[in-house]
Amino acid sequence: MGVRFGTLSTKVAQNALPANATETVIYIVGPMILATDSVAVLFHWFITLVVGTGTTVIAVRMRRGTTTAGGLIGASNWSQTVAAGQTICMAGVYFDVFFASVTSYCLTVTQTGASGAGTVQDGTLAAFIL
Amino acid sequence: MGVRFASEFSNTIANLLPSSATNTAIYITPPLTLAADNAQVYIAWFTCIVTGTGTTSLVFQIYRFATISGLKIGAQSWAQTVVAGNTYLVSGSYIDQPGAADLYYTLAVIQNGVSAAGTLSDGCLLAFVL
Repeated sequence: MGVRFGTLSTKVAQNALPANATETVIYIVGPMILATDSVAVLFHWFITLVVGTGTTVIAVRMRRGTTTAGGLIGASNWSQTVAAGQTICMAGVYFDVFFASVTSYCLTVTQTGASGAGTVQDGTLAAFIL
Repeated sequence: MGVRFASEFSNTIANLLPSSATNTAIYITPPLTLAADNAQVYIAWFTCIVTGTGTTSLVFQIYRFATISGLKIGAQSWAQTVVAGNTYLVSGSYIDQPGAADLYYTLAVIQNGVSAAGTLSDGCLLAFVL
């Protein structure tokens, strides 16, 4: 291989889904070493989960940093209508242009309306410097 | 960083979803500078859509160039059955081998059966040269 590109990935779930509608960090990558210009970072994410009791919508968010306090990537939350007890697969891509040298990224999930915990079965978050 | 992929991307919504089943360009990349050989272009896309009244399926298509009159990428349209009023995350990836320089790409969607406009809340279209 002649060259490689900066990448990070994980399939380790950081937290279980709670029995309420609390935004919860599921996957974290980083810290990632970026060039200090307008380099683009491409994200691929995937998650399969069993929807908790009472849940009507699953909202997924990408954030800079490792907590739910980090800056939101994207124009809005990414939501999907669901029914409690369903097993669903969700996936997406997005990008970030960040003028900083080091940052982490996290993927979070909110179960709107949940009164019972959902179960993350598998998934991944990969970040790739273009 | 020694090398980078040639890439272009956009999360700017080109057109709102109409209240009819019209093929509508929703994301358009800036022109991608390609090697004038058979370089492959990896295309990834993501949408978060609240389906409008009457919608029974969403049909996605990617075109070369900046309009829906460009050459369609892929063997056929990419359709997903939906329920009106629900929220969906839909994403995908594909490969093109255009053999041409300076090429835009356009992601378009048709809301089959729609009688009231759906809402595209977020999404993106990325293309990078492998």
